[in-house]
Amino acid sequence: MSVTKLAYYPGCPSEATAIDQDMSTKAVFEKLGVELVEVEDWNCCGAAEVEDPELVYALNARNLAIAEKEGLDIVTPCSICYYNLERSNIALKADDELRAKVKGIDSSLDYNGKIKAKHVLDVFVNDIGLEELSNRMSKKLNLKVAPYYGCYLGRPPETAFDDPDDPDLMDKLIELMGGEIVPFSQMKSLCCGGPLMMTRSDIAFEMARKILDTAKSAGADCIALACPLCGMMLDGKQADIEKALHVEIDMPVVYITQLLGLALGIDAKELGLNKNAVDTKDILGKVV
Amino acid sequence: MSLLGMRNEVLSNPDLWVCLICQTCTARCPQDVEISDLLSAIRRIAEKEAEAGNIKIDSSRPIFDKAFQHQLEKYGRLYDIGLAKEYYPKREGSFFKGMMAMMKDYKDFGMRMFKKGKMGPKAMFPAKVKDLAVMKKIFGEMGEK
Repeated sequence: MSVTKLAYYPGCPSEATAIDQDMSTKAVFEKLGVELVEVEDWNCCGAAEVEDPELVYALNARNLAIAEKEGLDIVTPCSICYYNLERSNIALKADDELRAKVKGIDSSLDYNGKIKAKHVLDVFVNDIGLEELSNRMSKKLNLKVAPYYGCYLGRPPETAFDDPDDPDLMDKLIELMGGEIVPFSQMKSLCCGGPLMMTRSDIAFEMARKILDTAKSAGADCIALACPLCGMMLDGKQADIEKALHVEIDMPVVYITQLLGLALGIDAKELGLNKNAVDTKDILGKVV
Repeated sequence: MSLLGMRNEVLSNPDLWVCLICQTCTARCPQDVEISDLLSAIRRIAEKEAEAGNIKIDSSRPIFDKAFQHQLEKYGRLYDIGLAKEYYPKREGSFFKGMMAMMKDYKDFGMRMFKKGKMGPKAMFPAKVKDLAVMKKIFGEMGEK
């Protein structure tokens, strides 16, 4: 296998609301024999709330520089962290003046542009590869799955590693695990509403409801996703959305790393599947 | 509108604050205009104009974004509780009203996360980076004044 060791950037939600994503990411890579070295003393990527691009570049230069010192490419399970890491990587690689300016803030921001930034889904499908993954799978998922990609895997074009309107890397992975993809293409690359959760929850809730409802009408056993903000919105907030909009949804939402972990034969608890807000027991019964 | 010089109309347009930064506009633009980044720049100009008292922004998003950035400046990572404790009182105009609004939004959610082991005692306190001095420097030199 081509990949054996990567720098791991967990992102802020990994310690709280997306601890299940963090657990399953670590468990899957361990099972695949890829060593993850956590970026020492990592800082926040700036998320969607830091809008000054130079500030984003400086914040991410520090994390990139720490990984670069280890001589490792950096991988993250969070779509927003990926977007910020990769756009900073591109900007810093292309612009000597910017690199000098960032280095001038502090010597720990001295990044030479020698590594790649990757999202875990990209590593699974494009670096490790479907054939290798298939050889290692020991369980079949008899599940109908709605693959939900959200924003930053296929957009913007500068950093994307999947199609902007019809992304399919998760579809391929789910089919490989024995899962069936339900009709969901009109929803899979829409935004979950997450960025407006705290300032316009009325809009955010309605956007999330549409995604959840579509998955339900399509007969999905669960939604699979790859971003902790989408996870917070569709899973963590699902009961709040049901209450606010007077609807009943009850749709399990899991991270793609949790599904992959199940297919690789990893114990559900080790994948944090008891921590998803909407109960996942029905899913586990369909893994054979 | 920006090209036509309609400065005030652009800066006081309420749609600026419901943008999701989802990048769909940038991905679709046939002229390769990075519309999402453009809107982001316009929001930053609008925030400065509002701080100078030249326009009024009818959205709590600038307060939210600032409160978020303050957590990073102080701790290097996002501290959810610190963010809520700054955002809600500023949005509601008083500490008491802010706490009431926070409870309304987050009482059920917090309990749900607690039961699932996602918001234990550890989440009550900020997860700080060790090198806080460098965070101060980053925000001091790159952050908007």
